[in-house]
Parts: sequence; C-alpha cells; structure tokens
Amino acid sequence: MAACGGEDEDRRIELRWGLWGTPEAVQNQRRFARDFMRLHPNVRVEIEPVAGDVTVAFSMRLAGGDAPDVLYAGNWFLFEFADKGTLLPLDDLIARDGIDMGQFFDSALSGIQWDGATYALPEAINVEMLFYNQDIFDRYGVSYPEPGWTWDDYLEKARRLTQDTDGDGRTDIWGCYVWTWIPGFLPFMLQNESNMFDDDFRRFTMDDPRAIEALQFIQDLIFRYRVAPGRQALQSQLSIDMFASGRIAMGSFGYWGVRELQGAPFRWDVAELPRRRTTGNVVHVHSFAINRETEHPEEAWELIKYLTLDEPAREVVYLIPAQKRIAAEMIRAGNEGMPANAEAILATATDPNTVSPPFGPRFGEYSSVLGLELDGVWLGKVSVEEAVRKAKPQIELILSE
Amino acid sequence: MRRGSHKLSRRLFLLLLYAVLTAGAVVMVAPFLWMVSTSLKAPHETFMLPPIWIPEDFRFENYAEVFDRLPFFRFLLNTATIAGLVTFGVLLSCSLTAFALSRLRFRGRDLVFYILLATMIIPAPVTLVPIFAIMRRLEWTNTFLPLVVPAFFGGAFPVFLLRQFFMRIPRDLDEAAVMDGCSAFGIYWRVILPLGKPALATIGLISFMGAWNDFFGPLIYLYSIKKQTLTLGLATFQGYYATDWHLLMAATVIVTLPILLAFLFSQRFFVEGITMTGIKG
Repeated sequence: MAACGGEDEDRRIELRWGLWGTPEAVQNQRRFARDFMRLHPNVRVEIEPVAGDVTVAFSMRLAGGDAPDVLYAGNWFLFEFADKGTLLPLDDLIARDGIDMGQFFDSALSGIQWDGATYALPEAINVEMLFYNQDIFDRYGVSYPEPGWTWDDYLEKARRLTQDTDGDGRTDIWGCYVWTWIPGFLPFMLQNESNMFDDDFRRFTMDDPRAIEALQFIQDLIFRYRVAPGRQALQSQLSIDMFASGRIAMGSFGYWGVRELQGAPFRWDVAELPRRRTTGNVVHVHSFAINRETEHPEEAWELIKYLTLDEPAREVVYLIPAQKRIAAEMIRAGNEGMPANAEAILATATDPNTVSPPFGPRFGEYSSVLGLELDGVWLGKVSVEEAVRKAKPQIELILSE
Repeated sequence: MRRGSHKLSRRLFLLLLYAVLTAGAVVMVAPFLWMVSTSLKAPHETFMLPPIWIPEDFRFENYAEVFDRLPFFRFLLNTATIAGLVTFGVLLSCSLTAFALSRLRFRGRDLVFYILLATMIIPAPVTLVPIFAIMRRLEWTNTFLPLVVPAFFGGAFPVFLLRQFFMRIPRDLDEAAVMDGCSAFGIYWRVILPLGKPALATIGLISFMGAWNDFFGPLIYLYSIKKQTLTLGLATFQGYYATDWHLLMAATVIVTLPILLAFLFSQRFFVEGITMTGIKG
C-alpha cells in the first residue's frame, strides 16, 4: 500500500492499545506505536494510558464492552481476565506462526499461561533482589553477602548493621527491610518450602508450620530483633527512598531498584535473596494480551508480536527483558548502570524456584482478606498462627465458589 | 510616662501579631517551596537527611523532561478547554436558574428550589454507575462531553449560593428597571449579573478549580492519550514500582501554576465584593 497522501484516511483499521507504566515507558511505547504504524500503513494505533488502578480500569472497560484491542497486562490480573473469558487464547496463533516460546524465561511463561492456555506474549519480568549499601557494610566491618548465604547469615548481618548513630535511642540505620506484602514475604515462604496454596488452588496452605515459620521470621525481624523498620518507622516514606538516603543497609526490592538507585551517593550492589531449605523468589510478568472482542485480531496479533519479538523487546526499561538472550546482553557487569554482581540477577531469573505468585482469578478478593488478617501481624499485635487461622476459612470459601 | 507604656504595649502587640502571622505564613508556604525545590533537584537529593532546601544545581531540565516524557502541552490544552467550558456552563446555567428562583414569581418556585437542594444529599458515588451507563449509551465516552455537558444543566450548590446572593440585591432596582421598560431577561443581564459579580467570581473560581483538579471524571471517561488531562498525566508520574519525585514535583508545579494565577486574578473580585456597598434598601 503506497503512502498516497491523506494520511489518516488510508488507515482504515484502528487499534486501541491500553497501557500503563512509568512516564518513560509510556514515552517509549508511543514511539513503538509510531514505528509500528510506519510498518503497517493501513493501521492506526491509538494509545490509551491508564492512570490509577489498572485492574479496575481494564475490568470496567472490558465489562462495558469498551476496552482496547490490545492490553498491557501484569500476571497479578491477567488470569482474572483470562478466567472471565475476556482474552483471546493465543496458542493457535503461536503454533501457526511457529513462535519459539523457549526464547523466554520459564518464569515469564509462568505468568502468561493459565489452565493449559497462553493468554499473552511476555515483554518483561521483575524479580526481587537484595540490594545492599556497601558503604554501611564497610563502616561496621560486616562482610558482603555471598552466594548461598542463609537466613542466619542475613539476621546476623542485619543485627550488626542496625545502628543508632546519634545515641538518641532511636534507630538511624536499619539492618534490613522486607516488604510485608506478598512479593515481600512469599520468597521467604518459598525458601522454606511452603506456598500460599496447594497445586490445584483449593487449599490455603499458609497454616503449614514452614509457612508460619517464614512469616514469623519477618515479624521477628521487626519486633523481636528490631533490625527492620516496621510501618511506623517507614511512615509514609517509600522504602526505596529510605534505602537511597542511606537509612537501610540491606533491602529487598524488585529489579527496578537498579534504575532507581542510579546516582545514589554511596556504593551498592545486589545479591541473591538468602535461602533456608532452598532458594525461592517471585516473578512479576508484564505482557501484552488481546481483547477477545477485538474486530481486528490479526492486526492486534501483529502488534503484540512486534512489541515482544521485534525492536521494542530490546528497549525494556526498569524491568528484565523476557527474552533470555536480550536479558543476558543487557544485564552484564560493566554495562552502564549495572551493578558488579549483575550475574545474580540472571541467576535468580533462571532459578526454577523463581515462580509466579499464586495470582489466581480471584486474587483481588482473597488478597484483600489476607491483607486484612495479616495487618495485625505487621503491627506486632497478632500472632502469625492466629492471623492465618482466621484467614483460612474465609479464603477457602472464596476458592470454593 | 503612661503614654510611653501604652505605646510600648502596642508595639509588643504588633510584634507578637507579626510573629504569629509570619509563623502562619511559613507553615502555609513551606510545602509549596518544598515542591518547587524538589522539582529542581537531582533524583538522589530528594530524600537526603538533613533535608536539602536549595539543590546543588538547579536542574531546570527536569521541566523539559516532563514535557518530553508525556504530551503535557496537549494535556494543558485539553484541561484548559474542559475547565473553561465547565466554568462557562456553570456560570450561565446556574445564574439563570438562581435568577429565576430568586427574582421571578411563579407557582411551585420554592418547591423546585427545595427539590434542587435535596439533590445535594445524594452522594456522588451512588449516581456514578448510572451516569456512566448513560454516557456509554450516548457513545460519549472518550470525548469531553460527559465532563462538559452536565455543567450546562446547573448544580445545586452554585444555584443555592447565587440565589442567596441575588435575594439580597434590593428589589427596588428591578422595579426601577421595569419602569424604564426592561424585560425580565434585561433585569438579569443589566442588573443582577453586574451586581452579582463577587458571587459569580466565587462560583467561577470553584468550578474552574474543580474541573482543573478533577481526576476521577477524566479517569473514567477519557481513554485516548490525545484526550487526556493534566491530572491523569500527573498520576502517571506516581509510578507503579517507584516514584520519580523530582519529576512528579516539576509536573505538579506546572499543574498548579495556572490555578494560582486564576486565584490571583479573581481575588481582586473577592475584595471588590467585600467592599461593595452603597445600595440603600
């Protein structure tokens, strides 16, 4: 089709693309849309960035029959939409075009496949890493984390790193920080060979002694050993900002911390999370899915293939590219902005114990129940046993519906 | 002697007064200054302890970056269009309604007014879904219409405020105008509107600010990036994983500035309104 004037008239097919993310990511995606339109002169791509709660916005528009053709998705809500039948299963198209899914991290696939079907193509993944402030370690003569380190090593270092520098009785430097939400505590549970649910998503298994032990460890870090800031110490400050201002010695953050800490006025590096019985980590998967009601499935498919397999796949910001080869090129010590121990990031991404959290179709419901019950645990007012005992029947009721 | 001590206590009083006022001003202006200061910082300076008020280098490029990352000019234009139309719509429809409810006599007038007032009791979230469904049926989603058109159909609070204000304008003026051959619309246009300026300025400012700062309306109705507003752009800077505070603050300054200017301009009318006297009833 020749470019014969009347730019927009020629573009008979309009594809609506719903997306979200940092302004930088939105900026890039606008560029990808323009590049795609150059390659496909008959298609016009309309960008629809979503502010606020993405899950709510997308489900509202899907329910109202007013949703974009292509959706930027996260594994924390993808399966909810897939389960409602609002997304196009892609397996036939993948087989038809002979796309090698083996080029993506296995952990990425765990975030796009549900009940034996594939609902999206993965763009990027995010795993939790341990970030540590080398200046603080050096100041107090604590050795850096080593591969294969354990919870005991972690606690021992945290205790030596926790400091009241001005002697006013209040902690100025916290030894460690753990996010008290699923991506924060689930790695500890996985490391202790436990999980939130059994394999077929019927039984809530956080009352397992190993799961309780993992949560107890985190509660103890805050209230017994007082080496991690609780909610009060954090106040409204974001933990990454607290780490960036040198008030946390070791913090578990997503891979995005690498970007966030550029220009920090101290030396830092990353390490794998400590282990207990085994390794364990969680993965967030960002992907592109297709609205089942789209009038242009072929063009939508072309767009998501372009975004995940073509040039844009090399321009992932903030996260780890889902393609193993590209990730290995980008995340390498010596590359600009990469920490010395970048190897640990790839090792974590390929570790078989790095898995998608149990983001089932009813995640929104049971996670809010769980959040409410665990609240007391993270305030130091309720024991872990009591909280999970109370959560269990409520969550199993939701699962049985 | 006595006179001297009187003077002294007066001075002390003034000193105290100024001290209290200065403290108040500092408290009020500090967050604003912090916003401006953060908007000029390098990323790692934002949460330094002790806090840095004056950044090492003024990074004006933060502002350029905001415009670079998102189409902020487009957002600015969209927001100004919506806020301008909403303000115009509210002023037009509410002043006409308030005029009818305060100056004209017709059967059931007060009943209409009370029903109007009663609508204020219904919380907005209750009507949210039905209104959204209506807009969807009209195929008005992803246009400015759902945000602008309702403004042309009045609103309980501005009508109430204007009605109360218009009631206090002496009826003698209407009668004089009628004597001179003025129609009902003439009274509205030539008598009530000019005298109602302070109340209209208040309503105008409130509507403008409301529309300018509205997040929820644009969030549910405007999908395409070409139609979106400043508040939605601002929300994008509040990141999913982490927040670039320096950019968020630069964007916030850009969003706040027009409101500040709008206030400075209409403040003149407020003062005029307060000093407006001279009509003997």
